[in-house]
Amino acid sequence: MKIGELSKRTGVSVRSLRYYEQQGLITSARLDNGYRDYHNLAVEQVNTIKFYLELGLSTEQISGFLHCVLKNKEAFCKEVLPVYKKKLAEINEQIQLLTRIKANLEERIHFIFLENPQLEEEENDVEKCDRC
Amino acid sequence: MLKSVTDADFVSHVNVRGVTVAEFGAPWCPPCKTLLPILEELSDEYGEAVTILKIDVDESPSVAAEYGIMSMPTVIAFKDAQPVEKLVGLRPKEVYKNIISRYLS
Repeated sequence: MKIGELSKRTGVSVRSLRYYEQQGLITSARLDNGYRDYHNLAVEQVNTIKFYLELGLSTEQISGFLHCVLKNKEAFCKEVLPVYKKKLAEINEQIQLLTRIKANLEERIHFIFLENPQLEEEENDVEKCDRC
Repeated sequence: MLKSVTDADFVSHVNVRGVTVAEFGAPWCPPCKTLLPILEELSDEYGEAVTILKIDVDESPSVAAEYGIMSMPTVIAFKDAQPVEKLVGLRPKEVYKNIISRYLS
């Protein structure tokens, strides 16, 4: 099938498919006119790539175990677990960093309202009566 | 029970030790009418631990001026007779509760 059809059947843009090929994740044959020609199995392969990208893995990480997981269950591909563990560690680090940033921002907002309570009133659109 | 106080006896009702909450309002102000039952509830919940005062700003203009009351209701929380928080306008009950709890500890 041509790249447009693969794109339609997987929901992945033509541009991304070319990128996957450039990264060595998928391969195609060439027709006489130079157009890419994909095997039917390419659909499953692209869906698998999509699945791992959604886990936050890089194309490079995926290329390390893609061939194995296309043929075997994930649990029997020894390259997968270290990649998962590494990604999880990164995410935990990011969560810690974000938690610190969140606490800082909340504290700063609290102090802004403390120093200038009028801002909080405007923000909360509180019901009040003004004295004349 | 909320204690109604005026210019004359406001100071004597603010606790030298502990938490006092003062509500500055007026009978003609609708959000004040909504707030009063909330404060009554808090008064029941906290009992002796917190004194809650009610001031009519029209009757007591000087204490209202002293604390810069421009809008009503304004709630000022005192810790050991020092004003520590000022909330202008009607807020959810939780907001008042959080403030009281913060200064009680």
